[in-house]
Amino acid sequence: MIEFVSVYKAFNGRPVFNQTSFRVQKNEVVGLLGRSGVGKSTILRMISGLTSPDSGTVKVNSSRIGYIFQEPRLIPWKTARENICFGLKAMGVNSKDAKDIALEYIEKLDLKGFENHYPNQLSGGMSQRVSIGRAFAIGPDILLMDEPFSALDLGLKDALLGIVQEMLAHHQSMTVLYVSHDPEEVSRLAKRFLLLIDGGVIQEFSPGPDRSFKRMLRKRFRNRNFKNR
Amino acid sequence: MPAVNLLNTKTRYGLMGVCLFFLAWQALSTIFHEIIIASPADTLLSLIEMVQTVDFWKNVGITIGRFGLSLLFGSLVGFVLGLVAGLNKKMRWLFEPFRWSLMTMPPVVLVVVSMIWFGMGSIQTIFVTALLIIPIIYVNTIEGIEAVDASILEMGRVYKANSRMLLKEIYLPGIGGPVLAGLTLSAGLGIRIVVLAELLGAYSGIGYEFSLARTNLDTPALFAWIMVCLFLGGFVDLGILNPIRNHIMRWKAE
Repeated sequence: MIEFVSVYKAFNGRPVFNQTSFRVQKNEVVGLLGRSGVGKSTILRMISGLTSPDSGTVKVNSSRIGYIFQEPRLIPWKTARENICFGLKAMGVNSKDAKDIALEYIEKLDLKGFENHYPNQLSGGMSQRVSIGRAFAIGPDILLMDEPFSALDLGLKDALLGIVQEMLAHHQSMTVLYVSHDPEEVSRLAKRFLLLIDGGVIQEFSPGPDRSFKRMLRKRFRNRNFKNR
Repeated sequence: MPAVNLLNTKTRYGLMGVCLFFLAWQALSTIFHEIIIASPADTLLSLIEMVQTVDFWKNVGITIGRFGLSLLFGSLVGFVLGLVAGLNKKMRWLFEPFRWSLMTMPPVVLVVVSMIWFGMGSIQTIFVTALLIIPIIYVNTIEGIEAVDASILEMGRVYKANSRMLLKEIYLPGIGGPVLAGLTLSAGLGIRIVVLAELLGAYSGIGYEFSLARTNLDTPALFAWIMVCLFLGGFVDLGILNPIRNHIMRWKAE
């Protein structure tokens, strides 16, 4: 479970969150939408403990948080397998078990044959698959996804979304917060949506029929990112 | 195919440089008296004579030993202090006057001072050389730490990696490149300083042989010892440091 209670956070004197409150229930898959720079990633950073609110409370009931970043953030001197092992070892899994689990995810993510490749020998899509493997391998109870496919082309984005969908189907006891500015992308995974607007105001809604949903979002966002595509 | 061409070009130009070096040397040796500049042929003959003596190998061994110990101590101390200062700004500010002093002080001054402290011999040679290697490795270690990708460190923190794991898995491998560059610089400097310290304050080693050759006005021997120093430097760089560098930085190969 994730809960924000009256959170206030300012950057350079400008409040980005002001009395922001919301809750994500256990095992819920929630999409967090909002235009660029509105503070979506900051929410994930506060949940993962990378940054703290100036005031208010961020309650996170979790022992293992998986995080899929916008860019893969792989360790360049570690192979694909070792990168997946990193998260496991950090969580206290011994080397042998970590290796076995990592190889299992290498297969699941269709990376067999590339397990001993270094990140600079992998394509962008492969690197992001390794980063997905690193996040799922630890068996997280909370999974944070920060626009993980925004840098990929549409075909690759579609394929990776399919992989994440499949993995989520196998890990049902997982709370997921999926940040994006693309409602179509998020609607493939999330059941509930939070829309973050200026000042940390959060509006909650559920998706309706596809067209009206997009029209509604376009209206709320007033952002060029939402032209029909 | 382009890589092969590049390698060929590199080798070609390298060989041309070596030829140019020997040609210039030969030309200068014909212009100046043999006491001023020994010719490549005389130098080679002198070198062949020298390598047949026990003293040659004994002195080369002594210098290699002193150089190795200096590099080891200097690198270890520089690395540890660099790690401490790289991870803690206050310690860096504290060490800054020492770094500045060591990097600014002329090596010959340090040799003279250490001769007063330790007398003639190995200790003063190792002390001075190690002391001058410390700031090079120190600065390169700090640079390496600063160059570690902050986003990877952040990833490590999200996955709850403790400080020990961050140091072992991210910081130490991440600073490998700059530290190796520092080691290459230190190796080159180390040989020069060891020889200088031996020349001024020891009764054995290559530097001592330099001083003997100078006293006897044996210019071919002097030049032969210069060649020995060049071989030694080349061996350390190409024979030891390069393979280590290639192994540690193998992840950069495409």
